[in-house]
Amino acid sequence: MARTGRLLFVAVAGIGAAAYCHQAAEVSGLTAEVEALRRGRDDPEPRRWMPGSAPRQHVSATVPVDEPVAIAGNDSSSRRGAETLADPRSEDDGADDRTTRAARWNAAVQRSHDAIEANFRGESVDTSWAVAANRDLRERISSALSATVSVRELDCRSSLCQAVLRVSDATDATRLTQQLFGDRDAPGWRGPAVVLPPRPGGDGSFDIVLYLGREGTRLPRGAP
Amino acid sequence: MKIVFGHGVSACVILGCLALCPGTSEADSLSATAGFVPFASDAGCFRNLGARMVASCNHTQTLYLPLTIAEAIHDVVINVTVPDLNHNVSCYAVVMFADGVTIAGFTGRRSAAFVGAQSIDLGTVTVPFAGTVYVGCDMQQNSSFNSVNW
Repeated sequence: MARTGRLLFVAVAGIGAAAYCHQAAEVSGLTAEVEALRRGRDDPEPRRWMPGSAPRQHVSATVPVDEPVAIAGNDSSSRRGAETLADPRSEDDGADDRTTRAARWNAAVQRSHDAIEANFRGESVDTSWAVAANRDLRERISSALSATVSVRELDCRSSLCQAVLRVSDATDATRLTQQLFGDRDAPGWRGPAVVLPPRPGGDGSFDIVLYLGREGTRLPRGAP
Repeated sequence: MKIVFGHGVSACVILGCLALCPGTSEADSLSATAGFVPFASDAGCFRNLGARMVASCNHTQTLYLPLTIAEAIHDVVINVTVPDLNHNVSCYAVVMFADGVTIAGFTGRRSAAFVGAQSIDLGTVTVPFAGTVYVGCDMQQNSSFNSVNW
């Protein structure tokens, strides 16, 4: 009987402690939300998406986002650069948090891109793959090209290809990437790939750099 | 006896906290039931079995799941079940720029390697700021998309 009593006490104590932990976490979360509301700014970290609620995605761009140009659309606004878009909260303290977060985010993206580029530069040429990959890639790009896109460089090594393309119209970048990777009925390049943000190339054109990996390989990730 | 009693209380406190206190992991996951069918020809081709989405038509059908991204770098793993290697699953992740229409990255297509429940490691995706990611699986009859971890 005494043993049963002890077990019962232990179970009750465990449940009590767990409930305390849970309540403490809730109180902590509520306190943080109240504090954020009191300061009149958003939570700097995005909320995770939960079923029944839309993901919160900030679309304003007063921060130094990675993309140097807006890449969709033909209108002149697509060439102005994201920083010209108005943000009603730009004078708010919340903008600082967002700027910091964007800077940290963009630094991680840059490290990843640097790692891929360094990997490509360090590779020797495996002709058994590189020649065929170069030909395949050139054909795929050509089939997606219009008169406004040109191949400036195309270099395949042992597990990576680098393609530098010049497009004169932002919508060509969109169409090119969609056709390059294909869909279920017409699969495109089968390996991993990363497309660097388009950079102004002069005369209103953009340069797009792509790194395309050999099928079955993974792209290197940057140091955390 | 006091020692046993003390250990019992400690164990319950620890287990209780592990169960109810907020975690610190940045990893996320989503059940396949959050997916959607991008091709009209696949409408009605999936049935829900628990948290899984099972392909039921006798042609290749596609399921997409959007991922919520909170960091620039993510490793994406898809959990599937394959009835046999003649009815396989091929999955990929696509990264989009903030404009939502231009592709910023692709993991490449990877297929299940053997029969039964398994994970397909799609590797790392690098997501531009304000960019988005979705995963897609091209599935043959009776294969199932169970969940995605990232």
